[in-house]
Amino acid sequence: MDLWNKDAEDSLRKLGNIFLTGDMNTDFSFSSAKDDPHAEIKNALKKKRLYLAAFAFLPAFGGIVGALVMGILHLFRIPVYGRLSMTIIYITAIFGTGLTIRVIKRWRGQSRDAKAAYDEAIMAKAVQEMMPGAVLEPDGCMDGMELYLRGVVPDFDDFQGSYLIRYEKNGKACTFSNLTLTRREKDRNDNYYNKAVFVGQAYALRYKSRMRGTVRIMTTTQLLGREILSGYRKLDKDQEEKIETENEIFNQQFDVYASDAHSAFYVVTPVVMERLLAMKAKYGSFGLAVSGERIEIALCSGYYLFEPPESYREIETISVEKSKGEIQQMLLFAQCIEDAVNGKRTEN
Amino acid sequence: MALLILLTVCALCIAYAIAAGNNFKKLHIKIQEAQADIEVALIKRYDVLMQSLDAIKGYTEHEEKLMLNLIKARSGMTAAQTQAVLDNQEQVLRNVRIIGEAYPQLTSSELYKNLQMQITETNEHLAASKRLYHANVSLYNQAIAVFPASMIAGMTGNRPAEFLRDENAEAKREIRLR
Repeated sequence: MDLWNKDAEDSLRKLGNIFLTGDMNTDFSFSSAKDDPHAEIKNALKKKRLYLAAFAFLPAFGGIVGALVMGILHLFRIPVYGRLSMTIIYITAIFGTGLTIRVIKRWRGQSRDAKAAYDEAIMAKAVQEMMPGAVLEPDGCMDGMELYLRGVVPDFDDFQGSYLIRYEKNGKACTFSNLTLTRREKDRNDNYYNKAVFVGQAYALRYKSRMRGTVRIMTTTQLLGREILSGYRKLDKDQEEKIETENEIFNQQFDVYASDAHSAFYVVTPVVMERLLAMKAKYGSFGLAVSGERIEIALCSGYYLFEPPESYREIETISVEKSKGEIQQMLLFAQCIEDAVNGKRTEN
Repeated sequence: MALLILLTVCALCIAYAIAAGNNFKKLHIKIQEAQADIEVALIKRYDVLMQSLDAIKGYTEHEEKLMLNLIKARSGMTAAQTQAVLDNQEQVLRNVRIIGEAYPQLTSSELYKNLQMQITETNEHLAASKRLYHANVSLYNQAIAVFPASMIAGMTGNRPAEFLRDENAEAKREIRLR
């Protein structure tokens, strides 16, 4: 009997762990302020998980309460469809709805507070340490329409993002942000739904160049063996032409559009082609526009950088150093692009 | 009925021949544009090289000889002439660099540095123009080589265009390897 109790207790504990930590062998616990300087932020994020678990349990809890009410009604031989029982059922339903709303409100409030604390104590600090003088706007993002007009992202109906960072490199203003673009599309039953056409990071960089024209380079999308622009802005033929380079492998993996062929060959040198191919293999698909000193890049990574973690294991690893690592990753990609476009210089 | 089919086939052949001929012309114009691009870059580099030679005047007695050897770049050159100017400028450029290395005072002057930057810039444009020329020549040569366009090309007198051949490529490679 004792053994059964232990087993039941263990099973219940594992079940709780699955809901609270996502791993049945990891017990949920709040961080101690003594050992951890970021305990407050971690606990705020963990509380968010608690509310989420409570919300998941509410239907089960409602079911149990409903069964109890029905049992009591049956016990006292009260007719289920009578006035008293209906009153009890209504009160239970109202109570349940109120409880659900309260849990949702608390969860949203907790999410907001946890993110604000995370942005202030972790992100702002990491940004200042890595990029002194940089400006961080946690809820800001780059203008999707501007990026679309520059031809680096596909067509969309709505955009949102996070972690807009404005910084200077070699005296030139650069910008970064996470970005999501959604398009309203119809399904088979003519119902509209929002389809994410881009999730990733957008960069606007400045580099030293005397280039005059505009060159766009996008990873190629193929449909039934035919190249398609898949929603990217397309200009008239007198404004922009499709360029075929001498490198067949590059042509198969990238589309190059330019205001004139000379500009395209000026930017897309053999070294640049090699580097862009390597970047595609490492980072995935991206759109790139170069004109004059400006470079705009939209990297469709499928994830956001710098966001407060959701999983229990990742919450435990929160630190300024970890965020600095992510900023390093962001700067590395920006440097990669700059180096790639500047490839012609290192070539000599 | 047979006559109608024959006429239709003839009309289609003529339409194809016209389309192919126009395509050859378009591609040929692109080659000419790319060649003009190279010439512009060569003329620019010629000007910069002349300024460089002016800048190194007084540092070396070889300067007069260098200047005499520099072939004047002009527009409307043939592929062979373009290649000759290219090779000549490369040679003069190498000489200018050798002289620069021998005179540290010269290399540290602002004018010399500025001219070197301009040379680098024109070299980049020249490299882009050469690659564009080769890409266009390749497209044109492919277009006139494939059947049945090759028949039209033969009838209209379209001959394969020449690539720019760098006679000194092997020598440059050896220098780099060294």
